[in-house]
Formats: sequence, C-alpha cells, structure tokens
Amino acid sequence: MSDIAEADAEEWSALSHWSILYFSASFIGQVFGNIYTVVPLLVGALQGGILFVVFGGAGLIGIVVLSGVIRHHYFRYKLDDSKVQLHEGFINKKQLALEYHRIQNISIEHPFYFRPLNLVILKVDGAGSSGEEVSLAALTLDEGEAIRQFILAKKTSQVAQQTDSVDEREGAQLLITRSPLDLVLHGITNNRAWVVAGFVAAAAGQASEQLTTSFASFGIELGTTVQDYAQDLSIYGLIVAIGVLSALVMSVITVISILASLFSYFNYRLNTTESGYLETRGLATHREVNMQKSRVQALAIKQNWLDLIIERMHLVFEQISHMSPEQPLASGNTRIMVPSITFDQSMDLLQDYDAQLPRLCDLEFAPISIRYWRKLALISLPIYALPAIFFSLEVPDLPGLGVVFVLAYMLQISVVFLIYNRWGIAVSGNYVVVRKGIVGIDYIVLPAFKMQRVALHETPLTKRRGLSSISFLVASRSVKVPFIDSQLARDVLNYCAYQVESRKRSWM
Amino acid sequence: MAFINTQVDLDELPDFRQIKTTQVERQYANVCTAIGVAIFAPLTLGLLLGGLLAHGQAQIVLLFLSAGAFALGSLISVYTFNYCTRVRYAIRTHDIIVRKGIFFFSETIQPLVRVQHVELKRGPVEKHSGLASLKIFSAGLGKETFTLPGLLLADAERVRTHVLGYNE
Repeated sequence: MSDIAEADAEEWSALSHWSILYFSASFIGQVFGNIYTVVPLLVGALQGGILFVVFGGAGLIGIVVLSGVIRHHYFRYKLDDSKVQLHEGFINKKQLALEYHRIQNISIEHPFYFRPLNLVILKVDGAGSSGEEVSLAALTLDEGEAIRQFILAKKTSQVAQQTDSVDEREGAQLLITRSPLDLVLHGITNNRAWVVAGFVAAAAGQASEQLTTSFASFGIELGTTVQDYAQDLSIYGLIVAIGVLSALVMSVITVISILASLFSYFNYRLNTTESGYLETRGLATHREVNMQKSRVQALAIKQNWLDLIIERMHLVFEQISHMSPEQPLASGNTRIMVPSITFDQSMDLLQDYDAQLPRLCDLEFAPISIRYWRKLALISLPIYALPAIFFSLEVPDLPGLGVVFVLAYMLQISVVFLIYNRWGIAVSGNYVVVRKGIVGIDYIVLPAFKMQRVALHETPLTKRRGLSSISFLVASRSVKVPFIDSQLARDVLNYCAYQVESRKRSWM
Repeated sequence: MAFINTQVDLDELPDFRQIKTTQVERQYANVCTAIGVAIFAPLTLGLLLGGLLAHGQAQIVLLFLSAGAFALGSLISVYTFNYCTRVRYAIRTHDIIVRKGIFFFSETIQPLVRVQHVELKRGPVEKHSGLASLKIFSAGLGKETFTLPGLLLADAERVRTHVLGYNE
C-alpha cells in the first residue's frame, strides 16, 4: 500500500472505519456460508465442552475483527475520468480497473448493521465475470448517491440509452399480452408440486414412527393409535393414504403457484421498442423491464411435460448473468420471460427478434449418438444390480425389494433414453440451436457471434468412436452437447469462431 | 447498403485442429509433480516410521497404510506429470487455444475479441521457479475461467500484451 500512498496519496480514498463492520460481515458470510466449514466447527464445539466454546468463540471473533481491520487498512479506491479503480488485499493483492462504459448496475444497499448508523454500501457491477465487482462500504447516503450520480454521469452512453427508452415507451408497439387464463395455465404447469409429492411419498413411510416418537417425548403414548393403525392398514390402504395426502399437498401448492403466477404476471404486456423490448407486468408490485435487443445473449423456449399436454411453452430472453439460468436469483432483471405461449406465438416472437431466424420445427437437428444412452445405462447398472442381487440373496423373504431396484433401473434408463432422443444440435445462419428435454421439448437459441468461448471435449473411448462433445459459453449461460460426430463438432466450433472473429459484432 | 448473404464453405474455414501447438514449460510438470511428492512423501514416511516403531496389529495397519499412501502418491504424481506435459497452447491472430487432459481431453478456443480482463497469477512456488499462469476472463458465468498455466514470466507477459493489445 505504501507505493500507492507515495505515488498519489491525494487521489486514492480510504473507506470509513465503520467499513470494518462490512468486511467482518463478509468474512463471516464467506466462512459460515459454507456448510463444509460450519459442520466440523459445530461438531468440534459440541464435543469440546463449554471452555472450548468460550475460547474458540473469542478466538473466532478476534479473527473476524482482525480480518475486517486488515481489509479496511489495505482498501483504497479512486474514481477518475474513465474508470473506477480498486486496490485491496494484504496477502492476496487485488487490483481492479473498471471502465465506466462496462458498468452494468449500480445499486445502494442498506444492510441491517448499517441502518442505525445511516450508512450504505454502494455496489458497482461490471459486465465481465463475477470478480468484477466493486463494493464501497460505510458511505453516508449522500456520499453514496453522489458517487452513483458521478458514475452515471460519466457513463454517458447509458444516460443516452435511458433517455431513448423513455421516448421509446410512447412509440412502443404491443407484441403480446397474456390473459388471466394463460397465467393460470402457467401456474399449473410451472409449479414444483410434483417434486413435493415425491417427498411426501417418501416421508409418509416414516411418518407414523416419527409421530409416535414425538408424542412419546411429551409422555403421550400413541402405541394404540397411529402406529398400530398404520400397521393395521393393508398395503393398499397405505397407498391410498399416501395418494390422498400427496393430492392434498399438491393441490395446495398448485393453488399457491397459480396465485403467484397471477400476482407476478398480471396484465402482462411485451412491447417492442426501437432498440429492444419493454415488459410490463405485476399486480401488487408493478414491474417495467427494458431490455435492449443487442443485450439478448440467448433465447430459450422451455416446455415441461404438462406444457406438452396443453401445447404451451414459455420463452425467455436472457441477458448477461453471473449465475446459471437454473438458479432462482438469475431471474428478475436479467431476463424477460413470456409465460404460457403457443408454439406459433413463440415462433412469431423469434421472428420479431430476428427475421432471419428459421422456424425451429423446420430445422434438421443432428442427433447425439445412441452411445450416450448406452454409456449411462452401463455406468448405472452396477448401482442398481448389486443391491438387487444382495437383497435377493440375503432377504429372500422380501423378493419385492430386488424387483424395486430393477424397476428403478428401468425407469432411469427410460428417462435417459428420452433425454438422448431429444438432444440435438442445428446450425442455421447466424444461430446455433440446441434441442433438449425429457418429455417436453426445450430449444436454446444461441447467436453464434455472441459466443464468449467454445470448447471441444473427448475421452479416449469417444475419440475411437469418432465422437466428441462440445460446449458453448455465452454471457448468460453455458450449453453442452455430448456425443456428436467429431467432424460435425469441429465444423460447428470452426464456424462459431469464424462468426465471432470475422464479424467482430459487439455482444453487448 | 444491399443485404449480402454469402455462402460459407466450411472446408475453407481455418481449422483449429490443424494448427501447431506449443507445449507449456517442462518445468511446470516438474513443479506440479514435486508438489504432489512433497505432500505424499512425508505422509508415507511418517506412516512407515510409525509402522516400524509400533507392535502387533497396529504395525500391520500402519505398514499397509504406508504402502497405500506410497501407491496413491506415485499414481497421482505420474498422472500429474503426464497431465502437465500434455498442456499445449497456440496463439492465432484472433484467438488463443488451449489443449488439456489425458482421459478427459478438452480443447478450448478463446476469441480475443471477447476478453474482458486478464490476470497474471504467480503463487509462491511459481515465483520460485520463474513461472506464471495467465487467467483470461470473458463475460458470463464466473466459474468457468480460461487458464493458461506453466508459462515463463516473460512469455506470460508477452501473451498478456498480445491479448490486451488485440485491436477490435
């Protein structure tokens, strides 16, 4: 730090001493956010007794505070005409220069430990990887707001965009709306009731035993009631009971899901503006999301098996994200989702995005090799076969137990077969389209010139068979296609590299 | 401007599999293997010493463990050495290509036009042996980083200059 201090002591700013609180809190978050560190600590504390807990706790607090003090001491930042710069770290030194035009978001947070002090954290997110993040902690609200305004003013291009979007709102053209019926359908098809039903079925077997134990701890003997009742029930009775319970839980969750869908997407309207999209929706909280067309990194059409039955799907316009699309936090402002649309509607929306995008059903997808299914069927065979043989030999009184493993294996390889059957890749014009799914069909449309990186993967076995796997990284997700013809894989990757490197179109 | 849609001949495109790649420094494999040996050698020796000093059943268990640690250490060291000697890279005008892996081979193309920032990393061992790793970040999921390990510091700096100086 001394070199910085000597070079330009006046320009580099330090944070207030209160930022030690923030650094300590983030250290706690890093350490205790990981279950693998918490569990051994807790086990150790419980085994070590009260003295261990007291001294261990005091030591831990000492380390936490010390880390906060050290990070605060070595933290310096500077805002100049073109970028925000950061120097931090004692052992692992980090230097970051984030140019204003690459800043994606600037937010001000009020964590609970800063509220009594009326202090805030200013967070600046870069467009690059998740490492490109600047957090200036323990600023007063005025300071935070001033820095935010300063950065926004410097980020002139974005200011211009914001002005454009206000103007565009008036000239926006309606693309699609969603009626309450569509939203109800979305609520039904996109709930997690089926997952919960599985848990209920699994848990119901143990329910009577656990209930008895719980009541016994309060001195209540249920031996003659629940447990005996469960024992008295015939196997069919138990299946009916589990079925009724599952149906009940599923109904409740489905109703909640429908309500959530209605609340989130009420009065859904997707408009097209001069440069992109304007999505408005919401009952209690009204949301208005602007997305420039040039910022769309991938388009995903998703359809689960319920969607397939009612012939619906949803379309997602994905923006840059540091999280996988499967993570719940990746939703929100990083994407626009059009819920419960028909195939024709989804094709119209894709046509609106780019008139050169072919109709996905007309594309000829190169399938993945059947060897993908064979490999997984072979690998998982011992996992099911060994217990099946073991139980058949060791517990001959219960022949059904072995059969369960056989049925589970059949189920798994059937699902993998369906996955194999759907998986395919097609390249058309500027786009790479990947088809996936189990029962329903998902399409992921990737503009080839927006690829951030591409890779080819092989093992000695796949190489011998002339097969390769390929993966694509765009700014919103990564997509892998396994077991395709090696020559095709090579052609696709060469083509993607050509698209990115010859056209040099911006991905932003 | 009139819209032109020229057909692209796939056979005419530069093929990333036909290029000549360079092996990273041999020293990198030596260093990685040495780290593996440094971890397993004391473990093996400690268990062997304990086995020689102990009596009865404990002696047999410790000697077996020592033999196991030796076998595992040897296996990992041989694998690491072979893995590291197989890391190869190539720099083209518009991208960097890295080939890695023995059983799980991968070949990654990083277009220079998509590079967000570059990090030159040198751990204590790398510093001692004059090596450096270059981490290249593009936009998107942070977990997937493009790393070019086992370069001489001067080479790493040259590659970094080339990457950062790429003119869009």
